[in-house]
This record gives sequence, structure tokens and C-alpha cells, in this order.
Amino acid sequence: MSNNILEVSGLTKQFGSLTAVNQLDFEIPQGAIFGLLGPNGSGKSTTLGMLLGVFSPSSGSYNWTFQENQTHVRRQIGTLLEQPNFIKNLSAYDNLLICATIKGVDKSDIYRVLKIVGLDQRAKSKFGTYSTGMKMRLGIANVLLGDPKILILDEPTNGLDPIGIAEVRELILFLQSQGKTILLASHLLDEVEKVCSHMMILERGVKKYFGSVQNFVSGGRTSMFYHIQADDMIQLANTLTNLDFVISIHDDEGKNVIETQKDISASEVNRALAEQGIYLNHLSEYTPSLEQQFINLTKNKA
Amino acid sequence: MIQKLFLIDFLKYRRSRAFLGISILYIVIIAFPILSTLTTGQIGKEMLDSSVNSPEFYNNIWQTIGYLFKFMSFMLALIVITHQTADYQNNSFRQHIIDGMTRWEYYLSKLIVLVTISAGAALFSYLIVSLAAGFHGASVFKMFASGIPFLLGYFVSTLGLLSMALFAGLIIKNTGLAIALYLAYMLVELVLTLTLSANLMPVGGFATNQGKVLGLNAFDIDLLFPKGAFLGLLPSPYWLQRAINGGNDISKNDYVFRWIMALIYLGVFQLVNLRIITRKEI
Repeated sequence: MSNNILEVSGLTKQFGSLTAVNQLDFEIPQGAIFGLLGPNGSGKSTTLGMLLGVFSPSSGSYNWTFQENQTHVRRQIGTLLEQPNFIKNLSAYDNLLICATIKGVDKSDIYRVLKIVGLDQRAKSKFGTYSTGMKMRLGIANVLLGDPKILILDEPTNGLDPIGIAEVRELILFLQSQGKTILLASHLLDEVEKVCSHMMILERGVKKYFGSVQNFVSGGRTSMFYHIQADDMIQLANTLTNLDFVISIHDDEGKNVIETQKDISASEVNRALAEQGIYLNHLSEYTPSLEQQFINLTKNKA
Repeated sequence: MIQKLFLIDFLKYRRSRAFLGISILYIVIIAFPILSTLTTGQIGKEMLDSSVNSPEFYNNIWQTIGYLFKFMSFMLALIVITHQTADYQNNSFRQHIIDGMTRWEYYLSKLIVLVTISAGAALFSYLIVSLAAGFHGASVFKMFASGIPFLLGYFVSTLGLLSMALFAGLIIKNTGLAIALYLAYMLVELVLTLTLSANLMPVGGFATNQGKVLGLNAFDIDLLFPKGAFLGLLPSPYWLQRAINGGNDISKNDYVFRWIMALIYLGVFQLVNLRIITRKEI
């Protein structure tokens, strides 16, 4: 039996002449926290929309492997897609009662999930009176209704304050420890780096990376990065642009950061610059964050 | 499943100001004057006092009530449009699908709403008539038994007009625009059918109800269009009287034709609404 909870093959979505998602193939392993990354308009929400029945795929297929009957499979997936969609003039309780009725969850579960997100005292307040952060919490409460095995969270920290963001992060890690599989779409790469085990990067609907986060940040690198500094920074910058092994140069708070070919060591950088008459006062290798790697990937291949 | 789907929409409707407001208007603005007219007004006196418990009495009262009540369906249509567009504005349609409702279930939930409102309206009309007739000493049982064809006609007529309203709410997300489209269509169909019948009938035909088009009385050409077909289930007492005066026999076939047209359009609107719901990208 497959260890994946979702298998996607050739998934494509076209809106007229625009191909929003193009030939996606990926799997989500059971128990993983799977990050779905990409800039605005990269096709993240369209991909999730197809997996959740909101859009019908133009071609390709997907299979939620944990249940044979795909008709009602969504009832066992807790989903927060883009923003919480609730009825403004209904209370939090009534809104969740509608969701619980659709999912076939007993209404006694409503106060349990409201308590988890800290809204049990405001259960009878109308959704329209909630702040942005409270609305997001109610969306997360809906996700938790019925204690689903799989959670799909699309930008779950939108509108939350730093404390709220930290709480959501802790909640995600807690849920994973309970054996849940989580699909997390986010712009906040720092968040993804902190909680995700696997990820996929999309750009203009095309898969740019698929694999483990750790591999992407370290082992999967195709280049090296160095912090570099000299007395004459202008001369240094001019010289670097003429070196063959330098792929890119950018400024990072007064220091130059250079990206070189993968097999270039720090001593080779130092030697090459010394041969050009430039003596460095700082040279250190550094590991770029997921965010920097992400920017490099999407920038270089665009 | 039906109980579950009913509960979902019931939860949405019970806190709705639009539903509450239009329902109160429905009762106060239209039902009370009808009740008042039937119990104390001229029509009431003629209809109710002259021959209580005679077959004509029941026939007259149901024809009049059925005819007056069918125009109230347009108010109920506003409720349906308002709630369908609210489903788009609150993203409820999208959220229900995400939460696991199938599109077929979503369609069924809407159909249940239409049937419930139509049945409620028919029940309400029966209540009003019973009150008025009871006031004049008529038998409530005979009232009900004689009213079944009219109640059925009113139910299907309302269901048809509400299905058209749901269609408007499904294709246009903006509430005001959807209502405007619905009312504009009603007006266009009215003008179109009046123009057609005026042009197709022989001179003087309108007054005598003479002149046939496609086997139909030219005066009844509106039965070929949806609004006319639905409203045609409850012909006006004025029409019936004139048809009889003009020497035309109101045969059973005429009523059968009216029912066939109404049911065809009801089926068409249900299929179109189902298709929109199952195909729409939300």
C-alpha cells in the first residue's frame, strides 16, 4: 500500500489562453508537513482549488489515497483556503454548525475547536464583528472540526499578530505530532522553513522544486555563497563582475554577497582576487535562508 | 440527507434580515388587504355571502385568491435571489464544496428551499382563504377539498417563478443586478406577448377572444413563454368570464396544455440550474 496520502499526475488548469497550472506531478507522504511555495499568481491556490473540487482540472488527475470513495473525501480534510468564508450575520457557533452539518460531525465538537483557537467566549458573537485575526482563528477552528487526518492551510497566518503567528506555528507542529498530514501554502518562507519537512515550489504554474526542505536549503544547492569585503568596495565589485566563476553579486547590509559555481572554494575566491590586486578584509561562506534560495531560484530561472 | 440539507439553509435563512423583512411585507402589504377584502369588502360580499357552501362559491373564491396570490410570488423571488447572491458574496457556495458538500447536494439544498417556500406560500394562501371562508360560515374541509387544484397550481406556479429567480441569482453575483435582470425579463416578456397577440389576432379579436395562433387563442400566446406558462396555471377570473362570454369552451384540454407548458419550463429551469451549479468555477 502506498505511503502517500495524495498522488497528483499531470494536473493542468487553463483559464482561456492562460495556463495557470501546468503538468504538475507530486505526492504528499503521510505524516509530512508539506509546504507549497510560490510568488503571487504562481498557481498555488488554483492547485489547491482543483484538489478541493472548487475548480475542475483541464487535464491530469489526483487521488486522495486514504479513502476509496473520492466523492465525500473532502469531509475528512480540514481546509482553510485563502480566507475564512463565513456568513457575516451568523454567530461563530452557527457558522461552525453549518460546517459540522456538511462534514457529518457532531455539534458537540464545535466548542472543543473553539476552545483550541481561544474563541469559546465569543461563540455567540456574529462573524461580522470579529477582527481579522479572530476570523482567521475561526477558519482554523473549522479546519479542526471532526479531528481530520489531513489539513490544508492556505496562508494561515494572514492577519495574525506575531503572537498569533507563533501560536499557529506551535499548533501546526502539535498537530503533526498527533500524526496529521499538513499541506501548508504560504508566502512566509521563514514559517515554511521552520515547520515543513517537504515542499514544492511553483512559478507561473510550473513545478520548480519538489523534495525535502533540508535538501533544498543545503544539499540541493547548485551554487556557493560568500560574504566578501575589501577596503575599496567599488573596485571589488568591478573586479568580481569580470570573474568567470561568479554567478551573481548583491548587497547585503554593506557587505557584498557573491554567488559562485558550486565547486569554487573560499581560498580560490581569495586567490583570484589577490591576483587582481585586491586584498580582502572579510571572506566567509554562508548558508542562505530558504527565502534567499527561493528568490535565487525564481529569479535565475524566470 | 434531505433533513441535513434543509438544516443548512434553514440556519442561513433564520437570521436573515432580507428573509424576515420580505416575509413581513408579504403578509402585511398583500395578505391583509386580501383578507380584509374577502371578509368585509365588495368582492367578499358578492362571493361569500350570496351562496355560501355552493360549488360556485368555492370555485369563485379559489379562482380569485389563486389569481391574486400568484403575483405575490414575485416578492418571494426576491428572497431567493437575495440569498443566492449572498451565497456568492459570503463565498458560502465555495466553502460548502470545500467542506465536503457535493455539487449535486448543493443543487438539492436549493431545490429544497424553493419547494419549502412554494409549499409555505400555498399553505399560507389556504390559511387566508380558510379564515375568510370560516368568517362567513363555510366548511373548512370543503374549502380544502375544493381548493386542491388551485393550491397545486399556486405551488407549481410559485416553484416555477422561484426557479427563474434562482437562475438569475446563479448567473449574476450582484444582488441588485440579479433582481433588475429578473424584473426586466418579466417586463420584456409581458411587452413581447402583448405585442405578439395584438399583431396576430384579427381586428376586434382581443375583445372577443377570437383568433387562433398555433392552435392557441391568440390571447393565450403568453403560455409559450416561461413567466406566462407559470402564471397561466392560475388564469384570471376575468379571462375565464370573457372566454365564456366569447363562446369559447374552457375545456379540460386547455388546462392540460397549461400544465404541460408549466411543467416543461419548470423542468428546463431545474436542468439549467443544475448544470450551472455542477459546472461553475467557484
